[in-house]
Amino acid sequence: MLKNNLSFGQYYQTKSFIHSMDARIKILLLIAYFITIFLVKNFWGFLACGAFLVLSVAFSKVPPLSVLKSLKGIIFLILFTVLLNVFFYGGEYEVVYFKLGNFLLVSDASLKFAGFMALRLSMLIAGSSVLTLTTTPVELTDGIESLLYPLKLIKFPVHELALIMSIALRFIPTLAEEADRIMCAQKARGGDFESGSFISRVKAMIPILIPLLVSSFRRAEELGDAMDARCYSGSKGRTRYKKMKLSYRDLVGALVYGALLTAVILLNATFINVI
Amino acid sequence: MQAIKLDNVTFEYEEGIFAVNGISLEINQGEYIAVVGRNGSGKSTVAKLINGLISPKSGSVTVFGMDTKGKKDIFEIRKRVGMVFQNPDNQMVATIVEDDIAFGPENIGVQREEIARRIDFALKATNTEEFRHRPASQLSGGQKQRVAIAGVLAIKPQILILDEATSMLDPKGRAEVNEVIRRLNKEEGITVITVTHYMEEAFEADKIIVMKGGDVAFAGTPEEVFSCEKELEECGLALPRATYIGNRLKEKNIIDKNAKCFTAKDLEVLLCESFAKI
Repeated sequence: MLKNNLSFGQYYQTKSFIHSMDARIKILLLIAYFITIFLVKNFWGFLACGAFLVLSVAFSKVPPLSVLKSLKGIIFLILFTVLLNVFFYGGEYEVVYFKLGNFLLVSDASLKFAGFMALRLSMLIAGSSVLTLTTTPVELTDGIESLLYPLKLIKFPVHELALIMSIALRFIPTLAEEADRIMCAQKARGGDFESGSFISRVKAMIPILIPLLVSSFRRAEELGDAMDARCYSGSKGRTRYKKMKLSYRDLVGALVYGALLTAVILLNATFINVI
Repeated sequence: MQAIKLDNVTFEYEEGIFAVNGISLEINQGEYIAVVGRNGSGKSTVAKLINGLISPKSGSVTVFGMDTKGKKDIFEIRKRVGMVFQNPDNQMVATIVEDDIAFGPENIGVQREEIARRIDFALKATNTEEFRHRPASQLSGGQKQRVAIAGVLAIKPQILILDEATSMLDPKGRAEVNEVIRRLNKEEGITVITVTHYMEEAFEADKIIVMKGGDVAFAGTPEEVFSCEKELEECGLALPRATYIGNRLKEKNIIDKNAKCFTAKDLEVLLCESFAKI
């Protein structure tokens, strides 16, 4: 079932330390965490980031499996990056394992680099799935809206952008369900999505994507009507039900992140840097 | 008090093809109206005309004295006329039930404490309190549709339009939704206009409007409308099943010809009486 693989963008309902944190702080911390991952230069740094990730999962009471599941969606991207980096890494190296022509070269350095790239990508996605699992789309978009507030001064449509994002997130499970249904309908008429070469399997997706696209246009139209009927008229004169409040949890979160950053900088300075 | 007035209204989606063709009708505050008709008879178009989602090509639609053509009044009209659509999935903007219900009041600028009160009221009125913090995608069709009604109720409308709101639901979901609607009409005094394919559902209304070819074919109380089997057939509609069976039994003189037989309950009583005679 396609639906079950889509934990990205799916809120996991429970009460936890991370769930109660302010969405704005969570977003800022996620961005900071992204930057930190790219600052990391050796294995120990990754271990520190991993500890931070494990800690956040533990304090969010989200089943670790659903965080891992989010990686499933980007497995091809990871494999692709790994392959590219293994063969086309251009940096300095010591040992050569395999060489073909002037460009294709597998060395100890390229293997290490590719490994770290894969780690980086998976930790990025796992980190962002912690955010989306613990924050409702409305909190998320309210947070983004609030963080982007200064852009309103230059007439940037902050509210509209935030609403578009929240609706997109809201429709992920609906569209996944629909894709499943279309897939079954095509299978019932002899459609084949599992066998054949990679290319033919990609081609087989076209009869799923087109009906999905058409139906999303229809849904969009109906949703537009429903929103009109519920008096939607842009951000003007709109109030907010949910109020965002900072609490001690946000301070704790920021402090723990501060500890991670310090650790990564120290580890970069202490150990031999691989990348 | 008159709530809605359609005066000689026409509307066309495509040039020259009228979806609504010179319709005139009046609906009073507190009434429970069912609009029936086969596909393409213009019943959904009428629903959309009333809250100004579309404006008439000619004629006028007035809601509490305000014309839906006036750009200024349209917001006021929509505050008073809530609308629930066919597919519950396509009318929710937020993932969590509570957030979705807050969307309407937020749009009309209601203050935070009052929004909280309205959410409580809407959840209670639709019997959905237990779903408050749940994602709507986990609910059943009937539950989702009740949440959609709650989302509309939070705006505190005086008129509630249901555009085939039960057509995608199973019998249980349909019964749940209809019970909520009936209660809103009786207890909160909300005017209900339900566009439906189900004759059993139409029977609940105070008045049925039968549509054909973009105009009102005939209208009346459920008993009046369902006494006209021929005319209904001409409009492409069938009687409620119990009424239909009753009519056939009357023809065969199995049950009393002059007895009232519209609902399953009526039929049951009449059949028991006729068995007793045998």
